[in-house]
Amino acid sequence: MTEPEQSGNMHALNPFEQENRESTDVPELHRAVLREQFEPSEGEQRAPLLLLLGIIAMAMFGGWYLSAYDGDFDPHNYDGPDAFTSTGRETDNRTPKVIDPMLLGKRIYNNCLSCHQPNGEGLPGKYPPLNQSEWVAGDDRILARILLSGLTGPITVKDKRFNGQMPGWGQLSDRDLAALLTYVRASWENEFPAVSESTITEARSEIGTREAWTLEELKSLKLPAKAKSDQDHAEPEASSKQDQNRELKK
Amino acid sequence: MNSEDNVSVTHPRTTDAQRRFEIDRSCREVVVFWYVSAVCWLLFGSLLAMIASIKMHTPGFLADAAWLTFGRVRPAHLNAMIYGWASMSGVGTLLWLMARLSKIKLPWREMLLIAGIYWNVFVAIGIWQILAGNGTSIEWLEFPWWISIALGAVFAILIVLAVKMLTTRREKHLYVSQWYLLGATIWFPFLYITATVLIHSPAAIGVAKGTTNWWFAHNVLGLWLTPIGLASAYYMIPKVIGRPIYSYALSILGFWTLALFYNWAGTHHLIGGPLPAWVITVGTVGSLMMFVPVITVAVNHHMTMVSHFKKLKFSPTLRFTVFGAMAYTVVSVQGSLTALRTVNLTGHFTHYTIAHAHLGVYAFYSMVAYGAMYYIMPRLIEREWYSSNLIKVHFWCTAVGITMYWVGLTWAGWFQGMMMNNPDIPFLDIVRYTIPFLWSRSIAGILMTIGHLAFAILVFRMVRRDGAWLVEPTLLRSIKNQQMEPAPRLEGADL
Repeated sequence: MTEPEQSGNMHALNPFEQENRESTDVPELHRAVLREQFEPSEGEQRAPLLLLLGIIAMAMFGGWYLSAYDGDFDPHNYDGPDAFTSTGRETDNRTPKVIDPMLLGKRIYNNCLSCHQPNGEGLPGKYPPLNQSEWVAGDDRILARILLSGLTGPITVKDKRFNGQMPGWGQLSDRDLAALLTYVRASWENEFPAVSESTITEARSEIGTREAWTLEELKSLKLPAKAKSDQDHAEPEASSKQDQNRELKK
Repeated sequence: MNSEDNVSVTHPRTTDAQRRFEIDRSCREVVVFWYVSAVCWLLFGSLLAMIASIKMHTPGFLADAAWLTFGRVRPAHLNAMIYGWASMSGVGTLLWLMARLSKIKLPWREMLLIAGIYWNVFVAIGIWQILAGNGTSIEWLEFPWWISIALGAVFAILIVLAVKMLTTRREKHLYVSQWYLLGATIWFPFLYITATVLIHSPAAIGVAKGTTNWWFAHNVLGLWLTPIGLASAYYMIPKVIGRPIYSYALSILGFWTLALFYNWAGTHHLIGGPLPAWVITVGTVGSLMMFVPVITVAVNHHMTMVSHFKKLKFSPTLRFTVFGAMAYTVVSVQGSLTALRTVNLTGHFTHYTIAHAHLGVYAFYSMVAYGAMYYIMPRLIEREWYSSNLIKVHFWCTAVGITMYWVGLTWAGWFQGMMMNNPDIPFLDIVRYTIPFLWSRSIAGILMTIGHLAFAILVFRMVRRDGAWLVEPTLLRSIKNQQMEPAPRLEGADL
């Protein structure tokens, strides 16, 4: 067994004998420090071999992990498999990155899922569902207006009454909102056409900044009939939606 | 002086004791002030913790008072504990250990007392600002920025003081505790001021703020509380059992690997976040490599303790310190594993993380701090602890409390994470699942608070000098009736 260090003082007593409680010439005050052991010191044992081997193994594992997940040290290579931009690792980095509205929309939908839930069913009696909702299926210009400025007061969705408040999301960009609506209209059991960025842009410029909508205001809205080119435009997007859907499920 | 010199001729050990006694005397007012302030913050922080914890399962509790809403009480609790309890007790231990190990009297006592008052005032203003709704919403830096700057100034004193004490030291050999203490005094102000400037200055935007925030928050534990806790454990364990630390080589290895790796670990909090992937990977590797210092320190402490575990039955200092040192191993291993992406996927954003944080700051740091205070305060005040039973209450309430807290929330958090990753489970079902565990947290919190009250009674009795005159250390159980071998050695067991 290792003996306690002698503090460099060769005259110090062996710690087994160092207690001298009978000593009367020591002031009473010193008792606490007198009964102390010597100040701690360090032994000379060598590090165990197993520990050193373990450290080498850890360093190797750390090196492997670093190289496996370094993302090429590319500042544009974000963490996680759901990154919404294509990495462009095989192609030239300078080419513009392709944005998939379904992946972008799914990410934006993180803002919505605490109320409308990941499965789009909402919460009965509290938050209306988006899945198979007649509002989601309806005119995308109204949908855009609700999303931009929010909605307040009673509303009926899928024959159920709700009375709550939804905040507006006008602070998000047109691209993000269009992607979000496209995602909502193509997710779960929904199979409705995509929403284009220009729809959001138009709605935003027409309503400006305003308070949340009520049901009456939405019903009294007089929107011009949709231009024909818009509907033509929507068709190819709807067909490509199937592909996007499949991609998302991967 | 003459009589003492005479004594030293016949009994060399008394000069040693005399010198230690004088060093302790020089620390008395300063360290006692920082310690007593720390205990007051501990009680106040426990109160805030109880309010926050009860709100988790009974949301209506105190819900009408804006000052006591969850979003204010929780950061107030965190800051009261980190900057009030942990930092103040840490500075107290740091000053005493530095003086003891450098074998010089504590310099600048008036300034350190004023710094203690100043620190209390600014932490109090900070907590008041948080409760008033002026918190910054940046985790671990919730104080308004001007308070962070004001607190940071105290550390300037601590750096200069630590360097001054080391350069004027009488003991040539630097003990491992001193490295850790010097590291803590240099690292933390750098962290604190850099983070405050980088986060609050208008130049900082977006992702850079988040990265800095977690780099800082993780390092408050890693490069401020951990070094002080380890310095204390490295001192108290060999001191109480009367035996050198197992290996100087392991001490060096543990210190430098901690200095090298801990600083990188913070970004593992941002796995899945909008950071470049490599930043997070580097954080994960840093966390994994923390295995090295942790296992090294664990081996070093364990090999020192081997064959002395019996003393845990007697010495409060040893029992608290060893509990803390063991918790350090557990929390660090858990932390390294949590940093892996696959584990983080489940554990992050759940109660699991909260359990982990408390294991670090409470089961490791706070328990070690209690141990140090049990050793240091009798030497400063020259009285023994008032009651052995209250020490037992303190130990068992806090030890059982934190264990229950950790087990309950880790379990709840892990299953919560697995359920949240399954989109078919409605969110409210998950919330309902965790409620029993949130109750267990509140009960654990009550237990720990009882322990804190026992400790506060002990400390206030100590300050009033109600304890016995220095005759026998207050031990958890009396040594006299035990048939221990070798008996003479235990006769003088330290408090």
